[in-house]
Amino acid sequence: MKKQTNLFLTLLIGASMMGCSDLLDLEPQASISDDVALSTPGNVQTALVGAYAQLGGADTYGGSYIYLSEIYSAPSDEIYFNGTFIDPFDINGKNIQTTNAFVTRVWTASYNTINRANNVLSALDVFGADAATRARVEGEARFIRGIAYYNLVQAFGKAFNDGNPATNLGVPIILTPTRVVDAALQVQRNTVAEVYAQAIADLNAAKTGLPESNGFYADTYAASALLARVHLAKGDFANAAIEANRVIASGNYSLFPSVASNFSRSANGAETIFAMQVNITAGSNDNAVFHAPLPFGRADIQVLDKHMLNYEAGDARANLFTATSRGRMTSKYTSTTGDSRRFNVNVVRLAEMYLTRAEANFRTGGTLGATPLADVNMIRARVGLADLVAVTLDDILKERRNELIFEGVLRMDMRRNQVASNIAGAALAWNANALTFPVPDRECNVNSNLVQNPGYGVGKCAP
Amino acid sequence: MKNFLRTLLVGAFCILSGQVMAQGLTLSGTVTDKSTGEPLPAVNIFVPQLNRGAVTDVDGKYSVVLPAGSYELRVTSVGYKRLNTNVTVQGANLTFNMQLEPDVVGLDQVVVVGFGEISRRNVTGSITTVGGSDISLQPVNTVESAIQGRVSGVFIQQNNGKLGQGMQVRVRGSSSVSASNQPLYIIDGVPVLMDDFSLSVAATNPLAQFNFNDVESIQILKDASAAAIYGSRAANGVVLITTKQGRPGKTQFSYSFQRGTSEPTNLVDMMNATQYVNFMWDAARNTDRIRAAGGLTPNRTAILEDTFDYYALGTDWRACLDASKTSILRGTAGGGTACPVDEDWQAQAFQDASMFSHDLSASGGNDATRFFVSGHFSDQDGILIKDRFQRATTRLNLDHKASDRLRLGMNLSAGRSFNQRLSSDNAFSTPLQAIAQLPITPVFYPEGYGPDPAGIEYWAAVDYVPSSTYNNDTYYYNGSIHRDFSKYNVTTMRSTGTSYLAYNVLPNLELRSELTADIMTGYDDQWYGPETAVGFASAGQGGFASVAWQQSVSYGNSTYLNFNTNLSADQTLSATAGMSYQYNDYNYTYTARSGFPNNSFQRLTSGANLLDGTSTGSEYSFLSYFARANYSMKERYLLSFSGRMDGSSRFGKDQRYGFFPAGSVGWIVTEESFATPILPIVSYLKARASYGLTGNAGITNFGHLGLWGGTSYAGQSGISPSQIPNPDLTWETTTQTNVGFDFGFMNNRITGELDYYIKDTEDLLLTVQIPGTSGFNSTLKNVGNLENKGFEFNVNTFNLTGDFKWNTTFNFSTNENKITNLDGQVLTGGLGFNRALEGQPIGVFFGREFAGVDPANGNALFNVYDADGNLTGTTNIFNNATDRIIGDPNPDFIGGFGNTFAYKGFDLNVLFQFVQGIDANISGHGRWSRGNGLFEDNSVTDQLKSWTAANPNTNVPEARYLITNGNQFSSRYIVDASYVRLKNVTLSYTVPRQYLRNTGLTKVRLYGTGVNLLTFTDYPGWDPEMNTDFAAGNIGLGNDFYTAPQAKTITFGIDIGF
Repeated sequence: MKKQTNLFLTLLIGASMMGCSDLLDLEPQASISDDVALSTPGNVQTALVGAYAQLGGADTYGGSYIYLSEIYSAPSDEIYFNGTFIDPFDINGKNIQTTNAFVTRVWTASYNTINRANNVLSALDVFGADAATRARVEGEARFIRGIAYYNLVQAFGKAFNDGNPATNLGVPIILTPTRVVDAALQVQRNTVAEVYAQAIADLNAAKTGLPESNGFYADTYAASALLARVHLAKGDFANAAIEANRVIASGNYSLFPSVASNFSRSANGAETIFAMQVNITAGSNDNAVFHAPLPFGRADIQVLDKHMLNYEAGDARANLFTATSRGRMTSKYTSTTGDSRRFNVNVVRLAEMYLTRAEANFRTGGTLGATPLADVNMIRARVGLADLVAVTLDDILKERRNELIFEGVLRMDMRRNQVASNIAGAALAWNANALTFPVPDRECNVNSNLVQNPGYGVGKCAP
Repeated sequence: MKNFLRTLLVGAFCILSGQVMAQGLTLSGTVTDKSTGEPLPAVNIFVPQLNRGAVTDVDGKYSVVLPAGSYELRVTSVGYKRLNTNVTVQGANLTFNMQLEPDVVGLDQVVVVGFGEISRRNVTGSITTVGGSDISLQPVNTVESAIQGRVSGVFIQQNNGKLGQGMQVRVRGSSSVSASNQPLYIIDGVPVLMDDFSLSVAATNPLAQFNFNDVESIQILKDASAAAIYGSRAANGVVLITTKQGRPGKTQFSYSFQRGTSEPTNLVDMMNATQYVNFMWDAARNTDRIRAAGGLTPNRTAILEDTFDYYALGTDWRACLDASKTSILRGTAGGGTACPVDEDWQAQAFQDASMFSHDLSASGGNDATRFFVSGHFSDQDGILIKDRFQRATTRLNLDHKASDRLRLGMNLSAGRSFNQRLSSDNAFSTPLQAIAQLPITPVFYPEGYGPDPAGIEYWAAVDYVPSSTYNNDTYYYNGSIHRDFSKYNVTTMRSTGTSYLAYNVLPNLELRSELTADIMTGYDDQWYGPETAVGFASAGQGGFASVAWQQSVSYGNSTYLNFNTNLSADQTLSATAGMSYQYNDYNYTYTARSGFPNNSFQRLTSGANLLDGTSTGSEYSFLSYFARANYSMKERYLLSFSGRMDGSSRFGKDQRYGFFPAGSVGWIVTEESFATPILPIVSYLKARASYGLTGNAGITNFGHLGLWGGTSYAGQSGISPSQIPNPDLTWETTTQTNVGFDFGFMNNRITGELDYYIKDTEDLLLTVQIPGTSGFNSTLKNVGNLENKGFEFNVNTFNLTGDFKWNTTFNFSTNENKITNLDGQVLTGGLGFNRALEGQPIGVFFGREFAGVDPANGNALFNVYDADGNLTGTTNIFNNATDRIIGDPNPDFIGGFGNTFAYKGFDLNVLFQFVQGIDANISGHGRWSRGNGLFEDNSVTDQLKSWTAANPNTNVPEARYLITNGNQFSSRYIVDASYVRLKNVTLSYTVPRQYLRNTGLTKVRLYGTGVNLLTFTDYPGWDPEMNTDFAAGNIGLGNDFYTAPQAKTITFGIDIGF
């Protein structure tokens, strides 16, 4: 009996240990592996959707690309950051530390977007003979990558007209997806000119490959509209006029009768060229978080009386503010019908194209599509202002500022037009070091090939 | 050889006469407690020559059949001194009664080790034991709090004074940078789940469901030889918790009830309204002076005035201004009279906190079956508004002897906790953020004041008569509104159990198989009414509610053989070998809705808009083979080896298995004959040394794979890369060397242990930062090394042993943590200012040195160093100052000092706990409330010493409203957080037994306990024991961000037995 028992036990133990290594073969339930992710046309298209999702994130067009542009450049006697959230407070004060989390996230989220686009671009062969889909997918991915580079170089590089863009440092250009951690990740900063060239090349490719219309995704005119903006930032007025005119001439878009119709929309409208889609369950709109009054926003970005002097009497745009006993805020991100944070964010709209064309034509002496006067009066008429009889560059720029304030182009406009800003205690020249973001400390810590922007101390990647 | 112990046993037994008759004689008798005379069940009587033994029954009786001869008897029982005696049986059956002496010193205590037990005498590793009686009925929240200050080498820190929240427990320092640093907890053989089910960024404590009044003993396995049997998960130490087992005999009932109250240990001294208004006014005037000098509109005083007008709700805050400061832009000059509103907002964060608990247990059984049953219910209010923790637990521990060879049993506990949670420290709704509110802002709306009335843009004097409606127009969200219009209820159900079958294949070979299960289910029920929208925007659309269900199920099996043999008369060998498997399955479901008809509807079914609905899950498994052998010769030479082979699903196929061996030796010097002359002084001395490997796999599941996760855009589903692959990922291993002494002096009136250890961790499982240009921020890699080394010392003394007894315990530990290699990585944590840096302890504060204030102009100054580290000067431009190590949040040494006094039924326990040489970063009441008037936040009164022309020599820079002047993170906000604390005082009176005759009661004890009654510290915040919940981590140490103080608790209770 004892022998039998012992035999039995030995077998039991032996049996319980057999086949055990299978017990360690487990698979994740909510993720898929690299090799599956880009293996089919359907998967590559969902990866493209993933790239849009990141482009619309809180640290990209769902927020930082837009509101940081405004508070970073705005003069302190017109607009100030009233919150006690120190990182944006410091950005508004042009007093940024290299560890600033908002700045860091603009860098990392932009490159995350670029990596998603690069993944899509690396897998176009799955479309095989389906050339139309391939062209569209490639166009959308390059559109996304192009505007990410444009925003990066705006944030971390000097203005194109500041010194020599061929030697001023922009940001590293990455055109392939990251699949492994190796020394190749130790990249260097490309020059401002190179990054502009990359953004323009991407947007041009997008313009070529994208269809005339593409739902709320990027189409060929969205690419042209962003190209117009990038050319303007670069001072290439002829091309800016061409691209803006292409959008206007397409006839696909028209100005809303009321300028206010542009904001807090749940769907694109007649004036929308490209907007990040936000709905009740997905998408980000941190512009509302910082601009809108309570409860949906924090009412942090306050507009002072001096700013209101910019508007002529009767300008409908002077009504695009919410005056509360807790201060005055733009109402461009405030909804009266729901949670302000759950509405679309405009990236580019038609009015900007008229103003870009007007400025570009004015500066080149051209009349492509229309005269600058006609374009400016078109914008003025919409907001209830009398037509001008003659137009100056200052008129155009003032109109542009009043039309597009808080929409993400203030920083680009102030720097390219060499408009000084001011901070808590003093004036600040348009090209001051403090008006370019620092390379984030975390990047300097992990990549010794990066060089810090001037004015940011003696850290790891000091110049 | 003279056995020292025998000298302690004078009169411990009777010698009875008898005659030798024949073989097969019966030796029998009764074993009793020497001090009480009561019979002792379950005493082991072992005859080494025959390798045979017996166990006493319920009445303390034993009997063993043996041939005539002279025998050595080894008599052991838990809690009693070992008795070695000789008996001669000749010719007739012999009755041989024995008495055992209670073991107050503990040399013969049974120490539970992994998959077995061992006598304390034979321990060669470093194991610290806490008895259940030391911690039972402590009015604290969790078992870790109960052992705080009682064990050497274990640093225990509560994140904050919120109930049921995260804790940091570090056994011999932090051995990892990115992987888990928490020890492995084993309760009755079950490796318990430590899943944090919290949906907020603040962790909860999964051990809070455990009723520590059920504890028989806690063993903390600290060195490699003790812990290596748990191989891969033992690098952070192992906490073995054993719960009470039934004792045969008459069923003993025990019932306890206690009731008490809590309050915060300390408050921070905030400005009153008059101080605040004048301070801020000066700050705004200073800013406008600077703006005017810079050619800018000096409009900051006007901004402040508008702000005050708004937040004073029309009350006459100008009355607070000194008469000399009435040059104002709007309104009518006031000044010099009493403030109409002067709120102490800090008081709004706290509530009157009471607690009570009931404990009922029963223990009993017979020779075949023993049981222990307990039930517990407690209900405790936190000191912060709305904080509450309820716990209900039951337990059944059952052992049954089916035959002489087969035993079986189970330990099963089921419990439920209910926690009214609070927001994390980083949320405006966390109660203590109330200190930032303006003291001129009323807590309640003024009588007759509608919320946010039109027309009150500027000052309109209104007398303040508070209404009963909480003010929702505060600078920061009003926590009282959050209390009244939200709920955050977390219910956790937990069943932990093990059942075992033990079969004696041979008398000395036991096969044991244990099935273990730990099932934890969490229900997170949140609701926010529209009133809370100011603090919780998602509630702005008709309220918001969410529900999350989480379940983590862990089950497994351990099957192993225990073998004991006497190789010869003076050599023993015990060995253990087996395998274990553990599998965990985790599931998560979350749904959120908004748009509720009114506040009576708080369930999701009534919400109009579905905002979110999701589920996910994950799993992991461990498969292990282990073995251990303990060898002892002449009861003085001890040798132990163990090894464990571990495999885990967390690593790729080729890197899955790790081997973790350990060995140790011990030498009981005082058993040697040459030691005889020193015995009167040195009564016990054991030297021991150990060396071995342990591992760590406390990382995310599937960290080695390249993964894509799901996302969505505009109703379309998308995917995106979420993790970069690393197929080489494998175990982090820690090599530990330990040397130590156990000692006893003066007849063991003084006993203790001294240990020194070095722990080297290599192949750190590191969350390596990679360039963001890659599209990723980090990846998991085996990179780097770190080291912990330290001394541990503890001593127990019996100072007085007569009617008046006085015992003292003292423990003292140092740990020096140093990261020796990080491959150049710079890792940040906490609020962004803690770092892991090569050559430094983990979590050091890294930033710029505050150099005080420029006496000429009030500017904050910071030190500038050259490349060689020489101080070259100061600057007021923050970005030009030099980053340095400016603080270390790891303590230099920790310890506890306890005294127990007993006299005729009165017992007094006094325990002090100390933590010294630890730095903290004060952030909430630092950068915001000690920011010399940068923001409108109310300030701590020490800011009144800010620079002025009349007060140029100060370390508080000039107050400047909306101009940063030294509130950046710097050494200005690094402070010493050392403390000495009166952790526990218990005074009890046990009614003498003679008064209980005929009452049916066996015990009546009345007691009062105080926890955290006194704290001695220079810390300028609430409480130096803190680590803000939302930023606590391996690197994130020592940050105070509106972090709630610990509770000072006083309870009274009664404890009866029947």
